[in-house]
Amino acid sequence: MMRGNYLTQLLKGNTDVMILSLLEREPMYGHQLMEQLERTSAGFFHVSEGTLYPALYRLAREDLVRGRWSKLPTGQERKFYTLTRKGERRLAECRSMWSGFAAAMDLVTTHGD
Amino acid sequence: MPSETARYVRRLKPHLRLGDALESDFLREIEAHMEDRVASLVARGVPEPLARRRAVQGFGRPRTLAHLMRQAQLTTSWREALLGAAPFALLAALLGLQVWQVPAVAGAGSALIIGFTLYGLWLGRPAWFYPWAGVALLMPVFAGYLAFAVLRAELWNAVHGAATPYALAGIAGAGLYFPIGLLVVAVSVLVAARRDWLDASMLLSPLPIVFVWIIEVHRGGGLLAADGSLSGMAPVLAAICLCAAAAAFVFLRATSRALKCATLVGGALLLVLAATLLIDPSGGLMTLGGRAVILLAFLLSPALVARHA
Repeated sequence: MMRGNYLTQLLKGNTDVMILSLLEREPMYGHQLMEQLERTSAGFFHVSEGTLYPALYRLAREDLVRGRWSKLPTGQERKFYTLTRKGERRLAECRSMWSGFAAAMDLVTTHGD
Repeated sequence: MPSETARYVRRLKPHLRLGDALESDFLREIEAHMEDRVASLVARGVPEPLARRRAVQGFGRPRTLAHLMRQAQLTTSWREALLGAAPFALLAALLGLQVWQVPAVAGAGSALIIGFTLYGLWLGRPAWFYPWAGVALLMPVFAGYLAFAVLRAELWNAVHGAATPYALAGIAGAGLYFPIGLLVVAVSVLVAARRDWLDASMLLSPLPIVFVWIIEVHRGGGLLAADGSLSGMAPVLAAICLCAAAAAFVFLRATSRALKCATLVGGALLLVLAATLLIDPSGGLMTLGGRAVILLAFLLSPALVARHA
């Protein structure tokens, strides 16, 4: 139970960064993002649709990502999200904070004394 | 559209209240997502009926998703918040510089307000639209004051036997204006409250200031007779407008509904206090409390409207 809660909280706090990181590689639509996240994390992370879409719309509202409908080769239309300049800057900031946080956390958890 | 998706969308739609453009975009995206999800699960060997159920389950309860989506839309950028505070700042400038009676300035100000309101409508009512639309209601309210002045003068003439066909037409026109004006305000509030009653409250928030303004204009002898400084009250009203601009800014930037509510209530109490202490200090605590209750009931009334909308 404790493990599940901890992971949920970690995931919750980092969903935005994960989305921004994936979109930095290429524009993606919602379902593609969800599958890509699972694949890239070797099945460790699963973000539900109920978490993904509110996060995407919040990021779009903050002008960090932009969504645009485009046609797939099959003719179906999907809303592709791309990273904006502001999104790129935010991602760089988050990455820098994350590496500082991870290094400090590592020091505390592995060399607690 | 498969029946599971259609059923989910049907249950989700009444709770979304994101505005027509955003809502249809999101629903279209959900449908596309479910289509992909089902195809992906079926490709992994999940039987199609089960895949459909799982695709729907991923979105969670419709009410919860709608709530999360509305929460996501509460975020407003600095630029948008500044734009939302601007109409109050504009009123503050008109009053503070005592140029609100100068026809060219009043005309330019009105054009700006109408322009931004229409632009906001065209954009699908973003968060900054509501303060502009609220300030735009100032025009029908001032027109209502003119109608009241016409009605009073013509009734006086009619009672004293000087009723001309023009006077009677004036009475009929002015009398007709009030229900139409009220209808315009009521419909605006209803439409705003259908999406979010807090937006409707923001729409109503400039009206109490306009009401105090009209009282001062009336005390000064009417729109043409009152002096630009409103016997020294114009700077006070300008200061109130600046406070309202700050409150609108905080309201738009706030990411929790509780803080938005607190900003509305705090702004209203400040207005009552300022109006009572600076404009009519003769009233006691009871008067102050009574005014505060009336103003809060007025500003928070869209919550009741939304419940029945």
